[in-house]
Amino acid sequence: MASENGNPPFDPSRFAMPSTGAEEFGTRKIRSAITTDKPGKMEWVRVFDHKDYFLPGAALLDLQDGGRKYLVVPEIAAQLGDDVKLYNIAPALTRQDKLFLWPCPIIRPGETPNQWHVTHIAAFEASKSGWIRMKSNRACGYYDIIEPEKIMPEPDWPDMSFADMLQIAFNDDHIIDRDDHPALRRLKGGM
Amino acid sequence: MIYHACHELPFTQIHIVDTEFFGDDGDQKAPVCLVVRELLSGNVNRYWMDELRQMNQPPFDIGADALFVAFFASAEFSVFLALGWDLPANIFDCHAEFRCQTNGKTLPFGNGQVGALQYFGITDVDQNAKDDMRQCILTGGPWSPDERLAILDYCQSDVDGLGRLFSAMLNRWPLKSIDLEQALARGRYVATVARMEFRGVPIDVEILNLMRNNWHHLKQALIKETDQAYGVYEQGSFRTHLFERYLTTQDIAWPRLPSGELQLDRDTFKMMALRYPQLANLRELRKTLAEMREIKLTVGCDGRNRTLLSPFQSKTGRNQPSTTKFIFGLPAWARSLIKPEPGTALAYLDFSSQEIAIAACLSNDEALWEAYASGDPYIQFAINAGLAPIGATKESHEVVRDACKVIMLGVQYGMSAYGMGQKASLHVLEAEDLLQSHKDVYRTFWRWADQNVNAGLAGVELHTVFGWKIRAGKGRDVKENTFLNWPMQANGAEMLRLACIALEEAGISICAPVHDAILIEAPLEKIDTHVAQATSIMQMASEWVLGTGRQCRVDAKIVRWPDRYIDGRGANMWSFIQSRLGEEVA
Repeated sequence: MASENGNPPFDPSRFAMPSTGAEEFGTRKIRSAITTDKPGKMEWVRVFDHKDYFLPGAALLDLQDGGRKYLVVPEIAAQLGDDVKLYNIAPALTRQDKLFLWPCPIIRPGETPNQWHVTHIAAFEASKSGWIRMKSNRACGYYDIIEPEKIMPEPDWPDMSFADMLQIAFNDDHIIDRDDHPALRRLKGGM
Repeated sequence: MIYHACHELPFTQIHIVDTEFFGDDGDQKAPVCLVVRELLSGNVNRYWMDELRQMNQPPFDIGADALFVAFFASAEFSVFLALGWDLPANIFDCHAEFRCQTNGKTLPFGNGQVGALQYFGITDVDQNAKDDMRQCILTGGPWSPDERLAILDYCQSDVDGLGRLFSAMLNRWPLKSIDLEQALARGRYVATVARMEFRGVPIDVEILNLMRNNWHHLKQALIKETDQAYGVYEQGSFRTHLFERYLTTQDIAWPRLPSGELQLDRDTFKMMALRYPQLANLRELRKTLAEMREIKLTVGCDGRNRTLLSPFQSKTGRNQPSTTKFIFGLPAWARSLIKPEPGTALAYLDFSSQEIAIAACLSNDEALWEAYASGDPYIQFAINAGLAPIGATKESHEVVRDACKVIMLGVQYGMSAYGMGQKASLHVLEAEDLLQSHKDVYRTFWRWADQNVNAGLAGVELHTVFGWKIRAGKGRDVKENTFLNWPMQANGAEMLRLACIALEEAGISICAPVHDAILIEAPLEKIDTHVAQATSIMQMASEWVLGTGRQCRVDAKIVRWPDRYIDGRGANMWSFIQSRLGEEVA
């Protein structure tokens, strides 16, 4: 039907711009804080299962002062005995998109398995293929591993190298690579 | 092709036009004079009312090769329609375009014609003199020969200013071909607005006059009747301490201000009345008393409500008519004043879940589109999120569907999990989980929405499918939620504009646009055909915005004379008012 002034029917489709103009404006999330800790008991987590994102047998020192853990290079770790613990470390994400490094305990050959460690390792392994929650069961002396009843979507893994994650988690000042590191001095009562 | 100046535009004639007119609020306007300057030749012609009334058509070319330029052109078209003239084929409304280009910016001089001229540094316009002349014109005459000359000179001064403004706008904001097409589409909408304003909404004047004559008593009766269930009014005034007591007895936790006082604004009442339905009547009463201190509805001598629809006045490009003069701005019960004229019917047609359809299509989120296309996006979200089994329905899973509805609508506005919880009667943790589920299921939508927010906050210009724009201006308090919601709202507004143009040009008579809906009018024997045709056109308009093969559903409700329009939200209050009016008359 023509309009009153003889124009063809209104059809604006030739001058449509199916966008908002924001498409060219790219953004990315900067991960400025990455903690190194086991997941909280209320957190659903996934571990990133990739050989390039895995640090086996890493020595960590926890001064038990509420601060961040220290990554200790092997030569120095060998001198510290029980003060450091060995872990396998991999990046993990919570449902709320919190990126953290999950230190999973290692059971050394000949060591009597501790049920806390056994179930912790099982949780770590399970979270490579699905969302889980790891919750301590003090009465039984191990971790319960909880899986969701419904399928939860795969996480959006950050586009970031493992080296960068380690760098953010430990910076230079939380890597112990010399004998006179302040953390070691405190450990030895020198500060 | 980019047009930087008037002579480059693809038109053989460019007419800068201004008119003067008068008329009471609610009435169609009476022409006083018209001045037109053809910009390419510089020729000026001035016409007084008696000359205009003898013309069947405008005294200049309004065909496909000519461009009509005005500021707030719907005002000029009120004169055209009063004279029975056709409206121009190509319209460039400098007001609409100035709004489009500056939307989001701070305009120290406003967005009227004088403000727009000052924006470009053109400051030799005396606003006071303009106001004096407008007053002189609004008297409706008769005018002495000197006054006639002064009015024509005044009208021509506006035309001269408008010519300078048009040139300045082209110079500052050169038009690509697509920009010009989009501007002309907005101009075409302004012509549609003029037709809607000219037609107006039929009102039951008999009842309106009864209400006006008894309004003071009616308000008192309304307070007395409604307050029986609350006990919060004293001598006709709302008392906060009594409301506190009522809330305590009802065990309702009411939001408070940082000072500790109850938060009593309109939005809080709306939210709480949704959560606690027992508050709905109190909310309607407060809205009535606040907005209808007196009845300001503007109704012409032919019994039709008319007021400026004020197109493109909001950030989203929506119309912004007066909330007291426009029937759809009044509380819900007052809409029952709308009544078809004898032998006619009205139909209210609205886009169903328009914002969800827009969000799905523009973000290319197939899961969200599937939810919309299913016919019940809320139950589909519940199914997708694993909250309801496949095959669940509104009837079988009402509670979870209601919660999902709150989440789906709330996310468009950036509502917090707390707010969603309040609205859906959910614990905040449940609301947080549902919100997380929405982010999981509609991930593509969220990426798109985040991108819009980030770009908008960074000052990047966002636009709708047909070119309505927004850009965060310097010094403006920009909010994240503005840019989250703007694409859905602004494209929704655009969808309705396109629909209105196509409907009017197809011969459908629109009485008024109402957010995402329209009210149409037709003879009783034609209403069903018109509703079917209008539905089809609205779906086509939705496809222009959503993309090929994707359409919004359209719902229609027909009101045939002698019935009246009823909005369910205000049905009880309307019944009460009618019963009291009956007593007053008796």
